[in-house]
Amino acid sequence: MPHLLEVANLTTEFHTRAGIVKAVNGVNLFIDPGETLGIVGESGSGKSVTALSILRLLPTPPASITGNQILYQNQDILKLNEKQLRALRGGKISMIFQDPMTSLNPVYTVGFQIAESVRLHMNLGRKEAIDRAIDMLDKVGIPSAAKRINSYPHEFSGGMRQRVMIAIALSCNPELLIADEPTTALDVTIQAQILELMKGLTHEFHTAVMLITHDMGVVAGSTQRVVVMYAGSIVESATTTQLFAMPAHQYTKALLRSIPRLDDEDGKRLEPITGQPPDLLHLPKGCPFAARCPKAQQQCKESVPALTEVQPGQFAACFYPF
Amino acid sequence: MNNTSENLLEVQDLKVYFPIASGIGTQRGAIKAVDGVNFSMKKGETLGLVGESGCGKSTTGRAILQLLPVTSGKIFFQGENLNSLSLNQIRQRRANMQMIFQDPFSSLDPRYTISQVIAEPLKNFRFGSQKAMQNRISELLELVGMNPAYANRFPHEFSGGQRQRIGIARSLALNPSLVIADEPVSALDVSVQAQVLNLMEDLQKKLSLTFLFIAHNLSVVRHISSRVAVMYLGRIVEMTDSKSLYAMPLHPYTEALLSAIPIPDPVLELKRERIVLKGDLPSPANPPAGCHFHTRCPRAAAMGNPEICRTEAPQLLEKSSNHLAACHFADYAAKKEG
Repeated sequence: MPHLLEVANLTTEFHTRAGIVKAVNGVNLFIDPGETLGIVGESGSGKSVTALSILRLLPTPPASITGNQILYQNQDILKLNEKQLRALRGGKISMIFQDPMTSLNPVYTVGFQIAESVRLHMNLGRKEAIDRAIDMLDKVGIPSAAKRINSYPHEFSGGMRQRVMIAIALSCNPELLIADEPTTALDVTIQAQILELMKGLTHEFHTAVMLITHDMGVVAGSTQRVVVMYAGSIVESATTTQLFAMPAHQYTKALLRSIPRLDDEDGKRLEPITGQPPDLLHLPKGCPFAARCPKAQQQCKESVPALTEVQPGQFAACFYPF
Repeated sequence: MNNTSENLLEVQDLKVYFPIASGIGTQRGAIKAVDGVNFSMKKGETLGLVGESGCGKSTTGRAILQLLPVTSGKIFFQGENLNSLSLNQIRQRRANMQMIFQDPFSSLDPRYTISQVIAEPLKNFRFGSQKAMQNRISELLELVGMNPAYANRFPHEFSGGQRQRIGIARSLALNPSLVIADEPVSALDVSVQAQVLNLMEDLQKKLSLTFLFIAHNLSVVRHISSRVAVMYLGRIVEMTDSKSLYAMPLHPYTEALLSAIPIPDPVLELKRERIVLKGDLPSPANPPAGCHFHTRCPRAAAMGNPEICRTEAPQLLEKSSNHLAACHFADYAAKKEG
């Protein structure tokens, strides 16, 4: 089966006054139709920039996206012109952003904002588009949808706004949904609602999801495969079960150990990762994690380990995995 | 309620209302941010205060420090009612109760060096000579695991975790007995969060500090607290030691909250039964009558919405030893288990 999306050697740099910030550094990944891929990492690991680069949503300059290709159904996104890109964005590939407070336009009703993308991508008339908007609002669980389409974003709570965002994103039956920290701004009980909703709807529409998050718990509950990023590179890629049962990269292992868990024993001491992530302006010569790694050897400081298969389906960029 | 001297802090029926103005001199109502909160803290313990945004947990913390006007209720600190003190007297007491803030990026003045930041409380309370102050600053920086040689650098030269360490050093400058930590690690990445949590635990042991730890992350609160109080719409709904709270929650809101938290373990996640609450948090300006939670309560729904939930606000009562819950049907959970 061909992959739905295949990213080959993606590199995104920002040219700033202080120098070149290497936000994404040779990322390779793929998504199959209907699957949910998690991308986890801490702030500055390059997970959001990867997503924005895929849809070419970064202003160039200051950004520069280089890479072999971003292949979407035999079409290289890197070679598309503005018009072709617009047809893709919101139609075939749509996106949900982190902050539902700022990602909706405050001066238009939510009905208008859902209908806008439907009319653009599905060639529906005004009337049919509104019907579709009501239908979508209903699907995402907003009560009395026919009345609520005339409401403005400020009349909704955070969780409801994120539901509206999901309605917009799924209104054109996209094949791929990129969700960038969709629940980070929400409270846990609302997060549970939204994750359930996304799971149900993407399953119903057979939409592939790229779920970007910093929360290992969300990854464990909602994804089939995971990619772990650190300082702009993928350090590990595995099925979700493999990753949590037997993490291979030292960073993944350390990260999982440092998280306080609800089911921890009493008085258990956390094991933090010492030090700070590297400065993206001055990346080290070797493995980016070497300076904080308990197992680092001389080799780690001199050359960058490639992402290699450590057991079937599991890849790690580490000289000394497990 | 007794206010014996063994309790460092005692909060009695605390209410903090924010008026909603509808024009000049007229008032349309009030946001009941904190609506009758009772708890006490012993010296050396950590009480976790959890709840979702808008439940009143931060307001409670600020009201204790008298940083907000208290509508009614009493706050006893070291046996002394803070509400009866003059502003000047409260200022003196604040040396003994300090705060750690959430956002390490906005809680440090960008134009002050680290040494100036930490010196400010010392100067306010006339700590001593310039030399003594410099020694104290070095001592504090070492205490929080930072190199004293950095004292003359500015906040922007440090990472989030380091800044939070500086904020902690500042809060400890005057040797307080009570430290109110308002979401101290929620702005930090997990790997750094663990560093700061461990530091707080070490400092508590070393300096016998008492922490009121305010946070929305229950996993973090479970880790650091000896006792936990859960808040919903301005009221405490459940309070007990952290072990019992997680093993055997009595209030349906606590149950739902615990089940909503994702655990980083896919095998466990598959097996867990998740209680997904319906709807949003009601407005604190117009909270539901009776039990504030009855509009979203799965237990009330399962019991056919008993009238008492809609009409009578449940008191926070001891349901089993040292386990307080504010639910008319708190024993429902125990029955279900048994």
